[in-house]
Amino acid sequence: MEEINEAELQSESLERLLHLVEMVNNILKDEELLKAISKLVVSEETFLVVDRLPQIIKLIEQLTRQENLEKIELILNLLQSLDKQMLEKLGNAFKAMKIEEKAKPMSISKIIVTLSEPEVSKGLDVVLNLLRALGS
Amino acid sequence: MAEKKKFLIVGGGAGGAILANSLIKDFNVTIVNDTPNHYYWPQLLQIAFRNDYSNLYRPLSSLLAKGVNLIVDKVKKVDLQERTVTLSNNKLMNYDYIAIAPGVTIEHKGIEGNDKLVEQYGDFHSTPQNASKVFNVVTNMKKGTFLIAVGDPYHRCPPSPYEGILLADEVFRLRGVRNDINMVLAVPYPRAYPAETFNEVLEPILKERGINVMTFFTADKIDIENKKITSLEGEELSYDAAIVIPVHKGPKIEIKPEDAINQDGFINADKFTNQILKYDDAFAIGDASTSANAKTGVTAHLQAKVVSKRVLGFDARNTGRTNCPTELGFEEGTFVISDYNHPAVKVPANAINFIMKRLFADAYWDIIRHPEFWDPIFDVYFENTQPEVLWKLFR
Repeated sequence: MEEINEAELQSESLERLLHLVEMVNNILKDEELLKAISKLVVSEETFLVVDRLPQIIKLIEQLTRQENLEKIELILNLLQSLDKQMLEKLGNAFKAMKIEEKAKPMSISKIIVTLSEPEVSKGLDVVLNLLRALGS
Repeated sequence: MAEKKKFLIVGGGAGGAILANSLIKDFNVTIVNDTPNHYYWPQLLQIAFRNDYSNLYRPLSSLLAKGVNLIVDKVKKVDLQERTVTLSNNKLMNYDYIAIAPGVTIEHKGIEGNDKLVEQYGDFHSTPQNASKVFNVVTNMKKGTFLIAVGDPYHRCPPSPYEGILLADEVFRLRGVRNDINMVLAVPYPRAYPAETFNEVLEPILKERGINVMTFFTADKIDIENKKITSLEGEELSYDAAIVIPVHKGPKIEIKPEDAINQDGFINADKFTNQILKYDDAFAIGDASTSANAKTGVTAHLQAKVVSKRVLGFDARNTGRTNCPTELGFEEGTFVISDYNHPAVKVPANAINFIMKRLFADAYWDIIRHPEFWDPIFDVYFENTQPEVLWKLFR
């Protein structure tokens, strides 16, 4: 009886294996699938990644050091706390700074006038709050 | 040891076969199917646009677990009151539990002229022979208007008309004749895709590929001689080659009591439990039931799992989850994912989704045959891709 059970089990295992082989065979015969995978893998970007792999691995090693992981987590928390609109404004301000680099220095009277603008006043409030938080 | 209860399954499609294989440990399972083969219907699209027959069918016996009794015969009648099933040879069978899952009946004559149109140009919802006719059309057409019109909004595989037109576009482009072919997709909806959210994914793709979409057009009458299709709404479209998605009706089985079926022959089943009316020993699953919010294999699969759990005493319920892999041509794909509480997610078109779609299709036979192996994998997949979760990713 036990021998029959053992034989049955083996036959079932073999059948399962054959079914898995059939599935793998289906995948390997699927031209559309293989074409899509090839297009995804064989691309300019993947070649660049392969070319830079030693640098990438070195970078990953540095990033995954415990002390760096903790810092990354803090940066991620900071990113999560940031308001998207505020970041966009900040980005635009930096872009404006580049253009302003070529501009002439501002006179004291223009600085005073600018300070009275509501947008500048709001921005100044944000910066002052930040300075207050850093100092506390 | 108590004798196992008799579980009779009518229909050996995706739902019926998965249910049989899921129940075999606990029930004496018999499955009645009208052909010896199990057909993978999405393959009709692959035949129509790629001439690929590889995954079309397998012998049903090779997909059923050891111990499942298979009877190849037509079911004439199901009497839920008497708990009996009558086969074509008038043989009477009784059961303790029944699941009715025979799929749909395609009625080309449901749209005037469509029976003649399908003889000329084929379709990708009925038979491999008709799908083969489509392949003949798309590989020979050189110029003119190629039209796909939806005649029945409740057809099998909701994204299939879109897959059809986009795969035809791919063939025409690869053949270098696309510039000479005007492609039209006519739909009964107010927009290209009925679900507004998913339309935001699909419509730009159709536009980019130069496919003209005609909305509020429910194909009603085909004038074969003059090559014109008239809609219920009174509009008219001309064609040089056309495919009209045929009318789908319920199975041709007499079911008692009569209120178990609706006017189109679909079996009235609870959308959460698949139970038929008050009969707690009778279920309808898949395309044949009114409980399927999308006529797809995945829906039938999920409903089969719900029924298999319910008969074992668990309070399993359908969530209405859809998971329709959609091919867009040129190795791009997306998924129509929704449930009763969430509209279709805006899953973007990309190569990864196409690869996922193809892998699902290639694994199909194994999924049917070995639910015990695939269940844990699908549990994780469906949990992690719940519409609620995906909506946060793809707003």
